[in-house]
Amino acid sequence: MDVQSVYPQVASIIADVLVVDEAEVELNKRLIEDLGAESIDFLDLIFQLEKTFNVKIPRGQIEKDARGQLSDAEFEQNGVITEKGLTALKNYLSEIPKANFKQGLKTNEIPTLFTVETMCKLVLRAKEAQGTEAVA
Amino acid sequence: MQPGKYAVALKHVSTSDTYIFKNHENQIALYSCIIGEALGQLCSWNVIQATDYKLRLIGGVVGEVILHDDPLLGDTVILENTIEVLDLENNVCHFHGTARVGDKLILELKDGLGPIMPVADFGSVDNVIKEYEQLYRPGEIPRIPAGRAISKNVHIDTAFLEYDRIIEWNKGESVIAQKNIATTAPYFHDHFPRRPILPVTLMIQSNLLLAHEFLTELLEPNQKLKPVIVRRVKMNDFVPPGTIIMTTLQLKKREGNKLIVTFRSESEGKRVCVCEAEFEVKQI
Repeated sequence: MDVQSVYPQVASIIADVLVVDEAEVELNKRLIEDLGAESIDFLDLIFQLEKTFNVKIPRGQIEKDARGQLSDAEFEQNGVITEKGLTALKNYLSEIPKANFKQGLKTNEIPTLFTVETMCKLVLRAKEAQGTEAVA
Repeated sequence: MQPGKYAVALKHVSTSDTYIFKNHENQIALYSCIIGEALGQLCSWNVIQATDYKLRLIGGVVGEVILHDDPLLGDTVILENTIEVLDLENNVCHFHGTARVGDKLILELKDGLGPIMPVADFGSVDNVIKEYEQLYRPGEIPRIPAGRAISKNVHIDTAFLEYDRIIEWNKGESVIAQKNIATTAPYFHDHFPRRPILPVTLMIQSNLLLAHEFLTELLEPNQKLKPVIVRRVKMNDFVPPGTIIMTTLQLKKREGNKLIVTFRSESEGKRVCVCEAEFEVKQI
């Protein structure tokens, strides 16, 4: 499955949750800056994605997956993402333009990076993880 | 109460209730949104118990509320709440609930979803403990005999729920209305003592009253309106006393005897609440 296979449904959910016109929702649009998402919207959005795609998306999954093998201290220090952490994030969130990953980015600012495509990939990974679990 | 899982509570509708009104059948009833609020509070008490008075639920998102019937004066409403997920790692609670009078379903709340926040942010923990001790009375649900409700000499004053000013009124299309959230509003003393905020349920009730006025213009003389479903409710931000809210109401759909409207409320240009409501047109 690729991003395009889930995009129409994800776009429709995002438009519904953020109360914006579906035409405004495009793959590269940032959820917070471009589409006006707030923290409660993320709660709502994840819930709607879980319900629609019948998957489980643990909160903080993106950050957890992006860290990979990095320890807490390697990933962030005093809430600020380290050089190594930033590289791990860039690699994981490959759909986001590199220029958006600013030095000094805080862990609580990670959602500011998320785009519509990030949500599509989140769904795909959750479906994949579910499939793996089912096989196991 | 099974902390973190399930709870049952009673709400007696009395002449002392602030949120009573005369419904479309001229009966004195309690606004259904107050029953929704009571279900949310019951869930919050459950979270408070499950976390030993540390955390509480704060209203955020509600998928759907089906308004079956009005609870009437003298009724005892049985509230039942089930927590589907209490995720203390991510501070989220997902729940649903029902309200009945005897065997009659009054209201169903589906897909309630809200953040879990420290009890101490909103009031004194000692007071919360005292309040719970007063409220918690386990036992059988009492059988209340049927009777005729009093309809005279009941003081009804819920003008504070109404919008204050109409900015734009486009018949059958849309309305923009202004509501000033007064510091003297009667709900702020307990919602919440340390951090007063407008309950989402009262925001919804104000919206339903506005929609009722707007939609009534579209009816024939022998028709009346009843709100039947409220859906896609989301409170984006805390609304403190002194806030001025601007709400845009739009007629989304008119189909048969159903009228659907959407609401978007903003404060200083920032979205604070959205929801949708469905009304049923009834022949008198």
